[in-house]
Amino acid sequence: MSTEPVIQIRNLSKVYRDFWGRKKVRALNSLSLDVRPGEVFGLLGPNGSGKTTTLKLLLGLLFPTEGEVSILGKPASDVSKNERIGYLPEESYLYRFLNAEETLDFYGRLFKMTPATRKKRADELIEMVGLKQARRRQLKEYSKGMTRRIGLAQALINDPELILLDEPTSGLDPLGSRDMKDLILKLKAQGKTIVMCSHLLADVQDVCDRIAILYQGELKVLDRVDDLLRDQEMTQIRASKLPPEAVKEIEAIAARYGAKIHEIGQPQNTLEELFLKVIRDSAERPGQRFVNTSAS
Amino acid sequence: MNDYDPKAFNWLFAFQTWGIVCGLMFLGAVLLAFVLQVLSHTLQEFEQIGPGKPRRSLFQGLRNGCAAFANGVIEGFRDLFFMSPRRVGAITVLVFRESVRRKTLLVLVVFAICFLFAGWFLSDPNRDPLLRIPIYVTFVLTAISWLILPAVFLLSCWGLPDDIKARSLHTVVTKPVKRSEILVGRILGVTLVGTLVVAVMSVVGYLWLVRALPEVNGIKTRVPVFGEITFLDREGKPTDKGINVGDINMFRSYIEGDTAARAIWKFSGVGPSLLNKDGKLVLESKIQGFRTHKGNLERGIIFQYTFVNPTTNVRAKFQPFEIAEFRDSIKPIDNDLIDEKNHPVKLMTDIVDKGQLTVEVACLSTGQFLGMARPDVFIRAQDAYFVASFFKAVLCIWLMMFLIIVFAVSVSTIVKGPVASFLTGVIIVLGIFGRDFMQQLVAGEGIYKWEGGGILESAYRIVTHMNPNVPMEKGFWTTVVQVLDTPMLMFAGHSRAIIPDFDTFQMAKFVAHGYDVPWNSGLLPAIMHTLAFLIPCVILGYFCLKSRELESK
Repeated sequence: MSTEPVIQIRNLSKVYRDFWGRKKVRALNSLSLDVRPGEVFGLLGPNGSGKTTTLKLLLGLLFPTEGEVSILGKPASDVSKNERIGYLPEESYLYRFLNAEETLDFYGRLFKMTPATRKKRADELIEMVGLKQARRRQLKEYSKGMTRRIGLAQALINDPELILLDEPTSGLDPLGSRDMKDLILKLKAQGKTIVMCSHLLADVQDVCDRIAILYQGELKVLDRVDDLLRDQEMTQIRASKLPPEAVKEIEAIAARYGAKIHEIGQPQNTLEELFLKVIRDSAERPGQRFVNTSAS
Repeated sequence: MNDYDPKAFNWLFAFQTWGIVCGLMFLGAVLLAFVLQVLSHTLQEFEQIGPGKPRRSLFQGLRNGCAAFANGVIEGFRDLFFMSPRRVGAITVLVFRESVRRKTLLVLVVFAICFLFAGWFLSDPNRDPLLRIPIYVTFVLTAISWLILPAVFLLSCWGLPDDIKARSLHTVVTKPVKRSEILVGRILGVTLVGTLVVAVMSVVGYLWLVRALPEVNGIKTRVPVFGEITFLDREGKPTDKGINVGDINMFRSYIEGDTAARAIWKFSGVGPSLLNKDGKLVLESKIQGFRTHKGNLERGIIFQYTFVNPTTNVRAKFQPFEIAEFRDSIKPIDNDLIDEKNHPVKLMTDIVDKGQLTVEVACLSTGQFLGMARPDVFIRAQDAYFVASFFKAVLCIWLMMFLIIVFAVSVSTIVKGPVASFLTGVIIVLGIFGRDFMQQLVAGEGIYKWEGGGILESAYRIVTHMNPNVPMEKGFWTTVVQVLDTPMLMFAGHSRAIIPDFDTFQMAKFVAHGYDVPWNSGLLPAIMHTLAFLIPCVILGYFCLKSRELESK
């Protein structure tokens, strides 16, 4: 695999102006970063920090005020770069009068794909995003989650090398959100490069290799997620079936070495993990209820 | 076809006008784009370099602006010339589906309702069928125009702006699609819907005509070959026009009876192909009479054809006959004629000179007048089928529809739906109702006669309260003002060509009156008119869409 950056951004700035050309807001200020091949790169930041503006500048939907952008070795204004790119917008901006099959066929026709390949690819993607039952329904009848799924399918229709995802888990239920994150990891395993922007920190933490944090249009942090989150001062031991005597011994050893134990106890699962477990169990054993009567 | 003079398409004049108008428009657009590019880059350089080095900022701005402009132009023309038929086809099918699913085809239901009840309101069934045909034919062609044009007008004006507003276009442009492909695909998509609707309406309309008027099935349409007309006055001297007997419009000129006054037609391209199956040349006329006294009430005004060979001066008179007022007079002319010296002559060899036939028309009734215009006497070639003429008229409606689509979609690349509708609506209204007014205004004809010079001279006169009839003092500044006014007046003179002439597409006047839709003065002008707007509209529309920041806030 080539080590040339897939995306190179140099001193990229964007100023929104009014009708008369007067400055309204500087949405992005001298952003410089590289995205390497095969990584999952996250753009993080609060609302209005310039994440989506950056993605739109990469795609040529906006024109930069200053700076340069190179994607897959081509300038952002060159539409031929889009042959190798897939984009999932923040809202799925699709044609609501088309059904899922027609949507994928339409976007497939915009690429150099034969009708047979388009059909095969559309079938695979519809299956993958779980819309097999709704493939003939017009998108205007879809729920938000279903629209996100078909949006993802259209982004992958050309089997892209670079995938740009704007708030990929927005509008999805926890199950769909988990599926999306699994899919991102699967795509990464296939060697795809993924750039996602999100303000859902847990999602970013789950899937991203590197992140850039933007605030008011400026780059504040750029590093590997692991390195950024690792606390060098702390040590964590996770064990199962540890008897109380063993815990006492561990405390004693720690005291002997002058270490301070902050917490010993049973860790809590995340709500996401619990939710997924309940849903999966319900699917396996229909009719069974998991109600803790003592809590009611 | 009363009071209508079909003019043959003038290639030279058409190309000259098109070249001047498009040239001026493109020159203006290129200059504007160039200035904007240079200005925006210069301002950017000023911001970056700072106000301390204005010369450097100016130089770099100019250099970058020129480079960006040149790149834009090169890339633009590459995009326009190298479009992918596959992607254009995909967008065309998308727009077609969109239109169909937005129930555009409901217009066919409205059409059907119109036809279900049309018979109640049209003419009396006991009336002469030949008089009912013009009413029915005009109704069908007008119904098709008035139903399809608003539908495609709305689809074209609102489609692209809606697509941008709903951001569905944003997903499309993140695929390898050129803006030119979006523009052309959208134009073709709406055209496809319009074509389907026009095809259904025209077939249904024709079948309805045949059912309502069974005579339509058998009738044929006249194929006229028009000549050029000149006049001789009462003393036999050549003149451009005859006498005006008081008509305000003066469509027809009159010649006085029993004098040397003549109307002379010269027909070109006369050959055996124009003879009917009996080997005769058919001359058809629709000449109006003007009586200064009652005269012989038993007879109409008498007139006579004289066939002349201007080279050999052979003259053969045809027997005099009465004019058939308000009706067409059809006279098959035998090839064997007798000249003025009582020698037998052949029409096609002794009279027709190098394919040119000269016919003099004289009024023989003393004190009476005959009124004639160029299309009032013509050679009638082999008749054509009514169905062919009807569908030629439908083709012209289709061309008009296509022109509106091209114009509206191009406009909608830069403005929102309501503004695009307003702009296109104004163009249509001006194109239908305002062409004559604009013609008079820009040419300084009639009551709009220019006084007081051009734009700058007039401005000077207004400021100095100078009467337009007072000549300007001769001098350097007067010369400067008048020199500068010349190109502006030239532009004003041609600016009316920016508005399409929708009258070019109206062919009901031919079909309803039993004429074939002519190629040279009917179909060809309509086709060329459409092409003349198609090319600049697509180029301008593309550059507008290309320069548009779709996500701009």
